[in-house]
Amino acid sequence: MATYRELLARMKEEIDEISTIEAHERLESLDRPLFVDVREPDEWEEGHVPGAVHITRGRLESSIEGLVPDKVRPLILYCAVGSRSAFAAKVLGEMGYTDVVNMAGGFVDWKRNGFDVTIPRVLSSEQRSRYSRHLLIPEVGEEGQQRLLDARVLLIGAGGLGSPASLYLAAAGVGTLGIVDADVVDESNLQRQIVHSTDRLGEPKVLSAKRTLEGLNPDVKVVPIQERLTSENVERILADRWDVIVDGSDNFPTRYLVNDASVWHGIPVVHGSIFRFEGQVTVFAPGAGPCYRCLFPQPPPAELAPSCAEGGVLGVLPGIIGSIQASEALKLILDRGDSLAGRLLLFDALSTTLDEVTVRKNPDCPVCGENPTITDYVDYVEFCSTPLELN
Amino acid sequence: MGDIIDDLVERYPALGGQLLEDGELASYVNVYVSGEDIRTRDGLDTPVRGGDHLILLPAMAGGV
Repeated sequence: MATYRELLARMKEEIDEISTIEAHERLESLDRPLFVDVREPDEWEEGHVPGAVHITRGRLESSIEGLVPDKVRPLILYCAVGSRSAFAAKVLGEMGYTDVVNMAGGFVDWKRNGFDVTIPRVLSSEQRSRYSRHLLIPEVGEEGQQRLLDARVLLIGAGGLGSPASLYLAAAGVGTLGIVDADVVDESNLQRQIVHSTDRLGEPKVLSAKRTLEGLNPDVKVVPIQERLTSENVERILADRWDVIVDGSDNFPTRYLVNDASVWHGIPVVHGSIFRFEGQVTVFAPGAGPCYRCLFPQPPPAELAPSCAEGGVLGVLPGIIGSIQASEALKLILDRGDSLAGRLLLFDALSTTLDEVTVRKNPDCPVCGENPTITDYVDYVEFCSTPLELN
Repeated sequence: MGDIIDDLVERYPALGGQLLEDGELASYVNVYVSGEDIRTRDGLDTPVRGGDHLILLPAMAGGV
């Protein structure tokens, strides 16, 4: 029988050790080893060696092969003072890892030397609970949830499409939602604009939406922009580093303005539009796919393009299209799956059918083509009302 | 495809003003033959076969 001290002393004879100073030098070296932190989660959360991976001592044997399949990869193991990691180093040697050393003195000595420490960002227990269904999905997980919390999405319009899109993005924990809308809540909005409510009649839509969304999720900050998007204010509004734009506007001039600005700023746009029973939804990813002008080079004459205010819309339709927009925005932020870039989905609520057509990048596109002829904002109202010139 | 549109317009004359400009397909209408925009193929000369799925798609701007 051996005491703990005897066992530890024996263990240290059987493994290789380096000092924290040597370990720090190897952090900067070309054959940079992988630091493996075997401490408990609460110790890890208070700080760790930059670039280290975390496997608690208890899960080491079962997890290490998944994380480090290459058994000749140089590894430096550490814990708080170098004892738990001594046992861990011994075990990894027995498992066939050939280049394992223990960092003597551990993280306590590392910090005492004043070396860099990374404090990991962790979800609070409230967030763990709130986002538990996301954390269970491998494609999201804790890292993905942090990305969502860091993300900034700009919604054009807090109406039919903006309502469901903003509600789902807020619920998902997208940390910052900018909302551009100049209107106030009107009784005729409430048949479909579910981010607002009867007690908000007459209130600016951006403030009504802010109340609803921040009430739904306190992690979300809503930036209300009570303006109509124009050539004059678009640069100021886009200067705020948005990751994704969700376009739920209600007129052609704004659609073309959002398109041109997004191409020039390199911001992907999740585009949705609705009329009566029909919806269209796609993603315009600057550089990687077509833009709105590739899809529709010219707007139709006004008399052929009635708005929802003139032609009506089934109340639930924006719920379907706006929810697809939210889903696409989340995928873009998470960088997961296949986006709708290059594909236009057409939904018909009357027949309950979903069609898909291919949208190709137009090499002659005046904005995103090979030789662009439009390189600055134009008068979009005039562009959308002038008779077409055929060339 | 051109023959099909001519036939449609003959049967529904009001469609003519929405689909055509000077006898050509209007630039704000997209026509897809089995998911492909005919402008990326042979325009109104694009052949249509039995079983092809045709979509006449107008641009829509509504969102609120």
